[in-house]
Amino acid sequence: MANKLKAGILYLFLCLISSLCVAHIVNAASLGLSVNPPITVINVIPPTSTTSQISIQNNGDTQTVFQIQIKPFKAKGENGELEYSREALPIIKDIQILDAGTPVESVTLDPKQEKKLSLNINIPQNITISDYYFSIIFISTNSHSEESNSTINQLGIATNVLLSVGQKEDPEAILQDFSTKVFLEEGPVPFTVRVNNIGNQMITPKGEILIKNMFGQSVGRLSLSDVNILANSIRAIPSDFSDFSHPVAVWKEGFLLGLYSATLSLSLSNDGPTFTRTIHFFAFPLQILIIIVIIAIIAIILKNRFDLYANKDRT
Amino acid sequence: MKLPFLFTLAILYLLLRVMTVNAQQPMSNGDYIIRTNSLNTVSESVSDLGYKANPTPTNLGPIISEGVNYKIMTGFENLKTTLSFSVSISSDIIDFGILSPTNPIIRTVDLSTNTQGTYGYSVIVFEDQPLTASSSGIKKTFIPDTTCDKGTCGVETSAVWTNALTYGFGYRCDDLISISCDNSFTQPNFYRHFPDIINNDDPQSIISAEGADNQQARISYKVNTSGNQSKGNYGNTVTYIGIPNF
Repeated sequence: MANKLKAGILYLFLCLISSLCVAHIVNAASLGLSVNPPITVINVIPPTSTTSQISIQNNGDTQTVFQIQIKPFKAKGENGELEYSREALPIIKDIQILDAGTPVESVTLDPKQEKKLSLNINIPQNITISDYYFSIIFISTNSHSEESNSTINQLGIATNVLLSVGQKEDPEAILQDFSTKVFLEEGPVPFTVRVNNIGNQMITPKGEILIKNMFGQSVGRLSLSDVNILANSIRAIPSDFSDFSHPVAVWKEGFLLGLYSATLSLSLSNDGPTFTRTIHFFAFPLQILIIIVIIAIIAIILKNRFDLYANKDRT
Repeated sequence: MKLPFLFTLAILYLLLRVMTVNAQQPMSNGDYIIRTNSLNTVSESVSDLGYKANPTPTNLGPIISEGVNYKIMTGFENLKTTLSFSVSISSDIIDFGILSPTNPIIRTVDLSTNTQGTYGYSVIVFEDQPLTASSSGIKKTFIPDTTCDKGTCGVETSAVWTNALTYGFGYRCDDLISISCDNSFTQPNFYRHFPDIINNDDPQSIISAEGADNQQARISYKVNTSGNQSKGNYGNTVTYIGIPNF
């Protein structure tokens, strides 16, 4: 009986020790995050207060604390990428992230847990009339004990906010570039459309390119994507986003012959102004012409041979 | 006699090619234009004995809410608003194990993205400090960030790093599933080092790509130490941030 009791206590002791040991083993876990929406565009006339929702989900394996940071950004390049600036956001004190009505600087999420947060922006009367571009970034704060040579990986995700404060001004922009190759052998035809927004507010131009052949017939119409062009920045406007590094509007016509004109119509806003510019390009299928010439030459040679044999047979 | 016939055939071929209907363009004539880019209507299911056609409704953005003094638009034009922007990494820690001088150690982590709801995105990266031994009471020592075999790589530019006598800590990025690692990694064995926030470096973009479903890249960390490297447990933190384009 006493032996059984001793064995039971020993067993329990061993179980306790082993569970403690297991608890101290550092396990690697995956990290994952989703955010929706990826972008929020807000136009406000002060004074006012706006609230919009941000949904964040922990797709990782473990419960994780995510710090919330707000960073201002500016355009990087001409394809919609951004870079963070080192200056502080002037309206940072007017922005709050709320979790069930309470301002938070971090959020704790269980695996697969989704949380809806509120982005609350209070715009006072005396705010500087301007555009403010910033990201709300959620960064994991995972850590491990430093018992080995290791690098801790943290994961963050951003959602962008484009905030325009004040009455909408008349858009001011320059059509920096509308061009294509002067001579083409075949399609598709890539058009470069670059717009320089020299105004103080973001614009979202709407545009299309109408292509006509040498007889004046419309042979193609190309809708340009609605992209946001930040104040004082240039953006290339594509027709789709298949070529990310070189955004171009592509007329997906394969066979081309003759002189074509392409007319760009671009409205900077629903109320204008509208740019119109026409360019010309020439297309000629050299390869097909060469094939036809070769076939014609072969046909002539064969014809001559046949004629020669026919004449020989007669003589 | 046959030559005019051949030319006629060639001209007919050319005319047919010109007259080919290109279904990817909007349909139009002088009286109408049909553009299908944003057509977003839903009809009832249509069925017969041999088929059933279900409608495919989409929630295309942006979602707009308006008040007296404000207007809020969420999501991108013509993209589904229900699609989240997602990033994940396969491990939250890279364990290099025991560092042996002149014996480079390479460890990898996979970075995945799901970005259909965006027009494009980038992933930026930075480290909080070089790999640093943090034994209390002892002067901090660190493994320097690599400058590669010829001392030419940095935070933006990569260079070849194969020499076992080149010491330091660096990384490279390889495309796994339709992702676009930075162009500086196109050649194998090209590495660069993480931007160091303590050193006032700016975070660097390692991936820039169009929005798409299920993309994946592999990040390889490489560390190599000299015989003079002080003993200790070296560590740092590397942060990846997924950023949708605007």
